[in-house]
Amino acid sequence: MKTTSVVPRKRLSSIKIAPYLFVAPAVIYIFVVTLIPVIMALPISFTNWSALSPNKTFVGFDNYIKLFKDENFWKSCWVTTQMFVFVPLVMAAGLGVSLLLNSKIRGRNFFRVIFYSPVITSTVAAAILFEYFFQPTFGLFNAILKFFGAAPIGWYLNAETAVMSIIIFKVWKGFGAAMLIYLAGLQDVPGEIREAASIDGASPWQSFRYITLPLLRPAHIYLLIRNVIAVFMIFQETYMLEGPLNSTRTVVNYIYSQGFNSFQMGYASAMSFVLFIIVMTITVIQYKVTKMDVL
Amino acid sequence: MKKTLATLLAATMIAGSFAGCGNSPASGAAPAPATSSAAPASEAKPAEPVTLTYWQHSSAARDEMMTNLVAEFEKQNPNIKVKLEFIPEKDYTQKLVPSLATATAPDVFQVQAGMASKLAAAGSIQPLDPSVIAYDKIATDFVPATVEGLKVNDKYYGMPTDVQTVLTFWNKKLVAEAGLDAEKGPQTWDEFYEWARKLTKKDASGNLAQSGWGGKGYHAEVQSYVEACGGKFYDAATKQFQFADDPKSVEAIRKYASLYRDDKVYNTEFVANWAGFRQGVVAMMIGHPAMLGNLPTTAPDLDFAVGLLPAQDGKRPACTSSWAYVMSNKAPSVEATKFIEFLSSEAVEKEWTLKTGELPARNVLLTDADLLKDAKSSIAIKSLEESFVGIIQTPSLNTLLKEMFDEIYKTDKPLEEILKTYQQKMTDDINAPV
Repeated sequence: MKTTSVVPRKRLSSIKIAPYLFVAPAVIYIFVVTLIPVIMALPISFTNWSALSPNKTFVGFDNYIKLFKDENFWKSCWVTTQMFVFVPLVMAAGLGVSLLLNSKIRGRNFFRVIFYSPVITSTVAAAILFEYFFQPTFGLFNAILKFFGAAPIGWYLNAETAVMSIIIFKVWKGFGAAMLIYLAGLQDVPGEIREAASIDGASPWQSFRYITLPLLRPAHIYLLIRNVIAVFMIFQETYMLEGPLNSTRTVVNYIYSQGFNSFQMGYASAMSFVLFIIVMTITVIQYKVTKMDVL
Repeated sequence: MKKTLATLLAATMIAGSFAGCGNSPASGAAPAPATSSAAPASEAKPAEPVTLTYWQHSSAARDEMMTNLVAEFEKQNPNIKVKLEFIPEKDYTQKLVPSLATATAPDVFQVQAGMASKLAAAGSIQPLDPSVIAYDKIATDFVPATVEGLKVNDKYYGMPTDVQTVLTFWNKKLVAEAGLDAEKGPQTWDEFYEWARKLTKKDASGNLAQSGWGGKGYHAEVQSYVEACGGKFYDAATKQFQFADDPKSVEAIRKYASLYRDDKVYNTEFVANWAGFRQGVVAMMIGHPAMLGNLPTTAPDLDFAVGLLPAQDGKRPACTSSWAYVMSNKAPSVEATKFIEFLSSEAVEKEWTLKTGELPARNVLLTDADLLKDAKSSIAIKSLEESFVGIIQTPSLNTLLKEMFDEIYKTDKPLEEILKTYQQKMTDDINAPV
């Protein structure tokens, strides 16, 4: 009895504190610069604060009532919703490339570096580059389309193709990160299982469909959650590659413009808080559906 | 435990999404408070040195010049020290707004002139000290269009800097090829529009191959044309935009927009207008005199000419926009006004004009021989003679005007309906409580 009561205490003191000490700086940082400002948005959302002075006047639920009547807010929500097409595309592109680069091909490491490089490129710098690529008259993409006999399109400068252009840019920018996660996941797929399946007569497709793909589930879940949040974060891409008629104005872009261009920080805070609730709800649902397997 | 950890992680990931925005231009993080050792003027002892903090949006040429100017000012005023902070232009608003919000703004700073009245209404800036700078001298010594927008309730809240009007630019080669007078340029607005049509070329498929004029609703050219046509864009007395109710304004905007919409002299999908002008595929532009310094650097092979805006009934009103030096409500009034007075003095303005290409605001400099030496610069300075203050001088009004022209050009909605909608939006914006 004596020994059994002492050992757990020792474990508690010697094992469990260390991890918390390691994560403490990051958690404190996130609390101070992120969580506290997010929480502060709530009281500010009940004021008509312009941010041009410290003075605030309490306006009750006016900002929330305005928000529900504001067609620009709902339009920006719709633009953000359209951007979710990015999630399956970037995962599919990442998976495809990782499968290619997981096989023993020549220059494998070179291609891994090349495909990952957009991830570490500045979004602003890359967007400037894509601005030239997307240019309808003299740009690279339309030159390629013309070469193959296709009609040129207006890319982000046309309201109808603007969202698609942003998604293309984001997939290019993000598929390297998905590739890296899938490559790590593929290392954990035991070769013996595929070998056994092959002996049993499974085709390469069947082997991929029924063995590789299910075993990559933790990677799928992680990338799904990560990229859904990435969609809600879209700002710089649409700030730089701005389509006409507000066709690329996401919720975050709209919050920014109301806060820093129109100086309606109270209203911008109300929108931020509504966005926070939406993101929180979606994330909780994702965790429930995936049962936290990724953790 | 796992559940708690999961919830915590979920919350931090969501919050992280907002933190991600913090790395972007949307960063709202408050900057380190500006340190002002200045005591209010009433409390300051005359012998004690006063330190002013000053924020300026940055560029290499300006930073060096301002550093030298501050040294000169400190020599003239041994009791005043100036702590300079140069902030990249793209970060300037994101840094200034939180400082205003937390009452930690610098003593003296630059803002777009249109922001002066908003900041005055918010109580964040104070009027210039009349014991240092006489208000009647401001009215007589400065070009009216450069200081009118800085006057609120008969008090001046700032002095102008980075003054700009608008000029006509044309590609001499393309104009000559079209058989037009490349030296003289278009003299009237009707002639300008005719040139724009003549200079527009289409390829075999009917697509734009050369744009006659890259006009797409730039605020200064729209306001200038409405003014030239005798229209009323905005009524300062009632603080109401008028362009949708005033028939002359409606007709002017209809005619302006028809060049893009009906004559198709330009299309935003063709090429960015100034980039196209540099490449020689856009024949004419209307733009700031600052382009006089920019074009020889960015397009050294471009042979262009510049002229005043075209005339309408013999008049060439040119919309003026500027920035302003203002001082925060906590700044020591006398010392901060002295610094602003120094920055807008004749000698400093002249140096600023010679080195940056921005226009002067003082009347006396409009006839200064040194500034008029260069033929193109002299045209820019001459444009101030018929200048008027533009109302679209805040980021939000700029955005609304851009959205309005997007709708005019890219939707089938009736023009009158669009104008009415945006007239109301702009009026709401300018009267929004601060």
